[in-house]
Amino acid sequence: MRSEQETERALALYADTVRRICMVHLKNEADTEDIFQTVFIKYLLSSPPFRDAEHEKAWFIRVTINACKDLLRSFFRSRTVPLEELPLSAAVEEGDRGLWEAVWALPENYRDVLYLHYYEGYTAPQIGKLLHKNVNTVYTLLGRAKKLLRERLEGEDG
Amino acid sequence: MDKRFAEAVDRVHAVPGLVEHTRAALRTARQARKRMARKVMAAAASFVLVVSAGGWLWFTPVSAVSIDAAQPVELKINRFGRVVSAEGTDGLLFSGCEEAVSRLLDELQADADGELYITVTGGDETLAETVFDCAAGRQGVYCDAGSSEEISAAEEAGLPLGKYRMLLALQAIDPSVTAEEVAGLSMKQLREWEASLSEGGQADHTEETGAGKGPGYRGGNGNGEGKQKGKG
Repeated sequence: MRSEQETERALALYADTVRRICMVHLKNEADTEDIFQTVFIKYLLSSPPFRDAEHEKAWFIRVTINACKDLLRSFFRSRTVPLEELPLSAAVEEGDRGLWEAVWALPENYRDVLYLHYYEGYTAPQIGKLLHKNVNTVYTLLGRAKKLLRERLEGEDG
Repeated sequence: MDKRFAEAVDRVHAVPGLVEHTRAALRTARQARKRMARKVMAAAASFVLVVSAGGWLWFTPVSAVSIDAAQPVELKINRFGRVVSAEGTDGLLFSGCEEAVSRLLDELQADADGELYITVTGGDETLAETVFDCAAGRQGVYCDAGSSEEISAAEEAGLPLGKYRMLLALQAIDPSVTAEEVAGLSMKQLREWEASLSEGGQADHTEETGAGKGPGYRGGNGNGEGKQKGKG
């Protein structure tokens, strides 16, 4: 079990990262808070030593992505509430609403590579390693994600 | 588009309320884990105690069966009548006492050309009777029973129980008798020595042909090949 010092340090370093990944996948605050706590509790109860800061960050990214996907799968299995009915995240600024609606409309896999490449700055090979995907698949997903997002945003702007 | 996406993401932060709720959740999880760890430790300690107690019960000898032969044999028996230690012999570990003694007597009598002395110490009367029954009807086999304190004392002296008793008997007559002197002699020789000391060191072994009477045992060969009748 990790110490209080370690969890405080992790919160300081990775809270925004976890929150942003949640934003990419989840639309509402309740689910975000659920996943956010789940990730940091997993960190508290984990004990593997991390090689370095990059390794630790990759752990947080992977765990958060998987937790979001697990929640969405269980959500659709048991409750099936239309997305429109869920309260929109308060973290979304009014000016960004259109972009986020376009992001949320993308398939899950596209959103991960979009975030990891265009925000975190990971290369396709690094994303492939992180998500256990073939690097060619990552390139394909990146290309399609960018195209789809552009079409949706241009459609919105136009 | 790329820049717009990155800027929008950059405007997303973990608000203080979210972090505070998470800190509280971590505190709760930490306390729950510690409580669980204490319960697991208590359960593990109880389990270890029960297994240790069971193991202790099984492996703790409560009695011993010593057979003085050319190669002395000593069996230690647990409270369940099972052999938990066997010195001077193989293949009897965890056997029942009656079976072990019978097999030993079959082997030892076949090789022995004299008498066999069995001493039972500790345990209850049932065990002693079991051993005595094994020996009953066997020519040249003699049984005796004693206390568990004698086991410890005999182990300390480095002697099998039968010989330890003989040591005490000899020392009662001649305090200078040592355990080392006794260790090198057979039970038959020891009984002859005791008899000779009792009679003032001049035993009349008219039916015997062996050497080593009385003081002759000390430093002598003490082969004692006489045909002395068993005393049982």
